[in-house]
Amino acid sequence: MKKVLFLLIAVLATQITTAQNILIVDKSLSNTLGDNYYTDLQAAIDAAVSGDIIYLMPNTNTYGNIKINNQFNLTIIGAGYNAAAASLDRPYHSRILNLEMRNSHNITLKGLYINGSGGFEIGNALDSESTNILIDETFIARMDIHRANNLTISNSFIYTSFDTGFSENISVLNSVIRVSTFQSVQNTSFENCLITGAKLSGSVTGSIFKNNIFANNSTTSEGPIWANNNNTFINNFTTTPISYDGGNNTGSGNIGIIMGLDGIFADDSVRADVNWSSDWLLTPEHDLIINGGSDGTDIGPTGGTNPMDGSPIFSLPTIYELRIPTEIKAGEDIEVTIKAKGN
Amino acid sequence: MLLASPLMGQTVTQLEYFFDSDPGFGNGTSIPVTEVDGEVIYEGSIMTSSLSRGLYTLFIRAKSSDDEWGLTIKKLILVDQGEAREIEALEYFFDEDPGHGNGTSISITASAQIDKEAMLSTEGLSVGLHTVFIRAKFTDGSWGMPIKKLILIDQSDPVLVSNIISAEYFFNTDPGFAAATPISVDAGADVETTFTIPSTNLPIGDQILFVRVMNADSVWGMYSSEVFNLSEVASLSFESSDTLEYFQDSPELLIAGDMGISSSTEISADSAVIKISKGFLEEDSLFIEEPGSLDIDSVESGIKISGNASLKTYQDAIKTAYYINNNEVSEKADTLKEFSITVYSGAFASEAVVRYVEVLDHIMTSNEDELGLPKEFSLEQNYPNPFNPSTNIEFALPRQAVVSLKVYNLLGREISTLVSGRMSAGNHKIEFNASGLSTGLYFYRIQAGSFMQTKKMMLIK
Repeated sequence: MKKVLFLLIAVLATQITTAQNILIVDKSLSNTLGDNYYTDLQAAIDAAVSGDIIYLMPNTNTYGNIKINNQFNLTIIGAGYNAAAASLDRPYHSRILNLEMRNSHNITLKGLYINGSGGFEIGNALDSESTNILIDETFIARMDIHRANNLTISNSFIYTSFDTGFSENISVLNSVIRVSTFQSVQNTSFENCLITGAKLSGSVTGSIFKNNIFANNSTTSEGPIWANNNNTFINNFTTTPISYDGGNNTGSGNIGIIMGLDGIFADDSVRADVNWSSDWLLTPEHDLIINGGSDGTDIGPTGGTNPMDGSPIFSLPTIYELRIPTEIKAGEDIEVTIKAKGN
Repeated sequence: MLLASPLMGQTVTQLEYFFDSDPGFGNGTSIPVTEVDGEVIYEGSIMTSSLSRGLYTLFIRAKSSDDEWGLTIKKLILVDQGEAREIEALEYFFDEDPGHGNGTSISITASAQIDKEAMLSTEGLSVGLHTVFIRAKFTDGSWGMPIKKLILIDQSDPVLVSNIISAEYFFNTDPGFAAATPISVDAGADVETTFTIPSTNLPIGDQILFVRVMNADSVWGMYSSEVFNLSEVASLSFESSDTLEYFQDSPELLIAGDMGISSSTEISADSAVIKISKGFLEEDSLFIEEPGSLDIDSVESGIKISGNASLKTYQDAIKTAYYINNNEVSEKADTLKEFSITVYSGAFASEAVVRYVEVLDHIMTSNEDELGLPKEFSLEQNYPNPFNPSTNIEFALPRQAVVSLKVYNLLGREISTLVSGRMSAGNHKIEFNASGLSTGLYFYRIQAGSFMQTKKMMLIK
């Protein structure tokens, strides 16, 4: 009898540790709605087991400084970021101040808004190395990933600084990189990005730039020194005179035109200031960019396999409008209208 | 470089090496011995031409002048081919290795170096994170190590958008995904539906409705929620014989007789307000005097209110939608026709008119114009927009409310608080001066009670 009991317990324990739970973190709740509900994101992360998904509900306040340490198979999903949602009468950002990751693997961060001055950081210590990281549809004020292996950033907005340190296999896809400085970027692949406002210094080495739009960037006083750092440039479009085909670089199919942002994006606000809420749809007349990529799709964020298409970016199937009366008489029916988008 | 140090008083007389298997002392391949400053140094090559491509362990040992062999040192070495081999095939697979030759082939022309762009089919992969592996097969039949890349199969691609197929709602406690009350929806990428929920079993007071949707991949979204107030409305009815007396000198209302109020209705002062309005009819218009603070002294049966019940002016309470203008006061002796009594519960009012009222003293107030009070909360688009350096922001309050109006920058940081405090019902206009700010997009957000709205404005200098 003892043996049978032991086996039953063992099976149950296995099911508990491998089941995929969705933990819901909602700072606005005064009372939690169930066992899997939290008001504190760090508490939910610390309670998560392998395979768990955390839904981080949007809020006008931040969830604060967060650490993801020694986690495996964890997904955190926020509401996404986009201009369209900003017009809705509800909070639309799942805010984290600073996010530090250490020794964590198979981690997906999606639809978050990380806007602290420290941004997202994987430390320089050897035991900080984290692998298989996906960051999608996320705003990141600062990106310092010193010890990452196999990290992909897609459909995201990187705002002030970008540093890959000792990391390997970094890919940035269909994202906007509006950084003032590339700190130390090496062996990184940039595809279908808008790279703007950056100082193109010599600290970018051994990287691949494919189907990107370079706009309003500046070179250092030493000149266009990206040309000598073993980078590869393929089918990029640039509005600044960078001679990236030469020196120790290789490249082909690049287009260089001295021009501003006028004529590239249909959204006037992009011309004034590139920001996360911009609409990245291209000006239809600009035939050098449209379908100008090496894969036959657009150069820039609207091309490639996962384009930013100018529509709201929601990370999950989303109710973007919910209308009910604010006052209801007891006994009467509540009339509810919802509008939702698939995803 | 190979460096060997003899023991004290001894010299190294012989060095030899071998791969993988020991042929016995003295039977390895000899290495020339050169002694420099008491140490034996060998700088040269070790031949591997007889070895095929692969991994080997190199062993080296030394013999001393007293004819004794020392311990071997070993080193793992990879023997590769001197010339680049041709790649004759490429294949890829996702997540799990199906075995060499069983991946999906990528068409190439055999060459020592392959530079290839190919579209890899992701058909059949679930939404989420996957790892793609690509490896090459050489003309000698051997396979190279695969390279791998993390990829995301995303739902946001319009081509791959997963339709919404179901929805559900719950109140207050989450019963779990797919366990709440279902909502009927027509499947689609964009769904809009209107439906009704009975409030029969809900408790009186503030409630939160939670609604969420699920797509065809069985992925549930985050809930969306709205707060509403469920109110119980007290009923009042008066007979024509009911009498109220209002004494101007002492702000006290005496209610006499059976007013027809249900004896089962009990409303506390916290949740209900009794409104007593004094007015008169003139040319089909109802004129209302602004009520003062009245002490409800006693009610013989029915409604009970403890303490002072403050009187409030609610536009919606008077069906003819007139309000009080304190600046217009006039005496209307003997023209009083009726009182209206309204009981509020939440935002709902039950109103009854009492006729044949004896008025001992009366000072009448009239208002001149129909009030254009807003019927709902609203936040207007600023004007001018774009602006430099100032712009106007208008908003409307249907009733008195605690209002917060703030300006944020693109990072969501608060730039300015334009309004913070209680404001009266009506239309309001606030000027925002941005002379200290830089060009860019800003947001302004109003919160008035449960009402919240955000709009964008552009500062161009």
